Amino acid sequence: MGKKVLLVDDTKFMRMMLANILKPKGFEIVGEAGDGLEAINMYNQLKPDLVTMDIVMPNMEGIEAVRNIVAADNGAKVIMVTAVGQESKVKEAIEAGARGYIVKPFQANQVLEEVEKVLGG
Amino acid sequence: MTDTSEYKDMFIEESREHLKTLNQSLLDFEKNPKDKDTMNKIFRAAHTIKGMSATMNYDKIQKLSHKTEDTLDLIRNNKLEVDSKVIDLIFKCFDGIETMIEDIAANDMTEYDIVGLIEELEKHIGAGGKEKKQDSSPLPTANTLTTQSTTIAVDDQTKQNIIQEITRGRSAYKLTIAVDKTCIMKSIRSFLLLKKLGDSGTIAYSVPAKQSIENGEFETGFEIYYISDQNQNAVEKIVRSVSELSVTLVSPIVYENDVLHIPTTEHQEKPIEKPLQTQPETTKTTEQPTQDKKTVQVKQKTVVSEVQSIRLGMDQLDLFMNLIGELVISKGRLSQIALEHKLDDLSEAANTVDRLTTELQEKIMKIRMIPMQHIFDRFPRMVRDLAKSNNKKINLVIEGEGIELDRTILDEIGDPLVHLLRNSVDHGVETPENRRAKGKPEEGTVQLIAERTRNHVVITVRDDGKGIDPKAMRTAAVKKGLQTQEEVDRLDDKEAINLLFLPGLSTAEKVTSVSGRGVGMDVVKSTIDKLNGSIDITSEIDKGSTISLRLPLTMAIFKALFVGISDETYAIPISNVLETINLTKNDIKTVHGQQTTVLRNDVLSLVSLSDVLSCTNEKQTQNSAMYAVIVQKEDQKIGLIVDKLIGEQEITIKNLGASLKKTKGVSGVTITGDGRVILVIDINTLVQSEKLK
Repeated sequence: MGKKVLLVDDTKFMRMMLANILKPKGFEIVGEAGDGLEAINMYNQLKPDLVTMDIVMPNMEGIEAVRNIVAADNGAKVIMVTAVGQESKVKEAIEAGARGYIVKPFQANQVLEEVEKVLGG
Repeated sequence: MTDTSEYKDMFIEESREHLKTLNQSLLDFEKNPKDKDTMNKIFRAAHTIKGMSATMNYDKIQKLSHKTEDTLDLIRNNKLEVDSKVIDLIFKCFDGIETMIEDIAANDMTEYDIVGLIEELEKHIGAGGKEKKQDSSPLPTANTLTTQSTTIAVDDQTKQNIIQEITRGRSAYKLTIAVDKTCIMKSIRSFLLLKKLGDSGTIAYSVPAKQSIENGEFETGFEIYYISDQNQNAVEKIVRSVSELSVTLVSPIVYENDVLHIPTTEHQEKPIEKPLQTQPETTKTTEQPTQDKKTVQVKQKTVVSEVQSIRLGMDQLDLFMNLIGELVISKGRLSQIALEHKLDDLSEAANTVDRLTTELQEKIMKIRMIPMQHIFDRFPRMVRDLAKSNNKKINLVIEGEGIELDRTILDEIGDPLVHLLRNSVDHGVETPENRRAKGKPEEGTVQLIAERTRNHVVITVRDDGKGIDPKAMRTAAVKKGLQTQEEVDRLDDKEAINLLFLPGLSTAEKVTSVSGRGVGMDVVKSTIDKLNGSIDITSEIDKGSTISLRLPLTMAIFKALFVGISDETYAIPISNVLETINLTKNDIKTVHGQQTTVLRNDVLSLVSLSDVLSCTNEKQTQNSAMYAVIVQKEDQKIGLIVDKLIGEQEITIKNLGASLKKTKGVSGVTITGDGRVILVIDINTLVQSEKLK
């Protein structure tokens, strides 16, 4: 059974891109959320093995969502999806409990490496 | 490189949406610069476009959106004074991004030059920006690191600490770490590692200092003296859970014979990891296909956050409409067979099919309907820019953007509306000084309102400007040789205003307009006519003008009146029909070679439909009873003489092929239930061709 992944990003585009990288490797995309609030709800409902989390989103930003998710489940494995120029945000997210991050634009192998690392660690 | 072509459509679609948000929100922000939420929204949208374009390898879009984002960030954090120049520049950047995205959509390879915009942006954010220079120093090989001394190069205080911890039963390790040369955020990568280590131990000492590591202030790597309750394997696991580290060496520190040192056994000296880059895309081998299959089957239902939608081309929808048209025909044939052979069961079934087809038709029609918003959305920005370039203050009020209209119609009315709004801004609303002098508020109001009536949508463009002067219209028409003085003198004021629709009257004045496209009011009118709609102008000097476009909800299906001439049947769109009257030969009088009749004390011109369409009609001469269908074109009423009135029916119109397209008086054909092909009369061209005679 593949590991369950929840994709959180306010753009379908990014979610699709990540899904297309992860699915062929046997990961199962159990849910897609468009903002932080949805992410928290879906996390509690779906209990995924891994979450990819965009930082800049409407309603609730990624960092706040990570904080909430980790507070409820400190085993939560969240990878931040970030962009150049957001260093301080990523730091904040890591302090909030994120286990890893990938930087847009990313290559498939970078995503897979990070996912593997975070799931393994 | 990841192949991005399959994401292109989605990229374009989402980018367009975000651009819409950008333009709208920036307009809002300009009105209310204190609104943080709006600025955050703008920032997010710009940020998203940057991220997407970077992923798609659209470097220029990425670069421009990145710089724009930086500027927005400064505004967001109150570090940049916002004036209208800055807003203009940001709008220009949005335009630039839009141009590039539309170029991609159109497969246009034109290189868009962003240098100018970038330079302007940099003036605001300060050149150099936030982009840090990439570290170019060479990556240390595992070799250089492993040969490093095995003694402990730390200060005495730290040494004492380590010894103390070891004697307490904890473990100490020296970690040698190098970060991938390709790592983009090496400070964050290091921070992540330190955070993870800190969660299950203590960093006693590091080279360089912890703060420097977290700031990325190191050449290629660093050393950490780490104290933890974890065994070596566990520590290695922590280190391994962080990616983008090219060298990770975990060496236990022992305290033996009063000396701290690292035992040099072969095993421990070996780098525990060497993760060169995972080979991109080479892992395509289908490992364990059985397992893959399983995961597919057991796949849990994906919870998706929004309504699933698919995209469908208009051509496909048209295809559906055509198929439904065919279905209607077959259905008619079915009913007929039932009738002919008196098959009650069949006719019952045919009735059901009838109901279902009608429903299906309605549903498809509904799909073709698109909210007005689709075209209204771009107007606020346009009006703002136009007003600004004319030094006018204008508030655009939009209402009814949720009202839906058939896609075909919507596509057609975009340009006419642009023209009308532009007229209001250019010629309608006065300059602030002028308005003040007239005792009006400095800011003019332009309203764009869509309203739904039973079978029509009425779109109104109204301004509170100077209005249209009928006298000026008369003068202009004469001056341009479009009408004689005598002709214009006969016109009442409303008719004089309608002179605006004459070809050549409104176009010339438009040269003053910054962005004139040479579309005159006559073009607006002919577009609306083509759509079976009507246009109405009312205006009062110094009070303003109101222009209303009345449009049918849909073009694809409409009601038509079926009429008979001889044995032929023709369809006349019901929207053109005012009324029908009975006629006898005696009612028709010929005046100056023109057939006329008197209807309620008015003289009505009559035209025999068979004459106009040049079809022979033997019947008419014998038949004394006939009918006239009274139609209206512009201000002209005409009675079309026909033999029979057959009835009203909903029809779908099919275009004639290219060779017949220009046939005057005919707009297309429709097919009846029994499979007969019926010509649909086009009143506009019919009356024109009649006038020419």
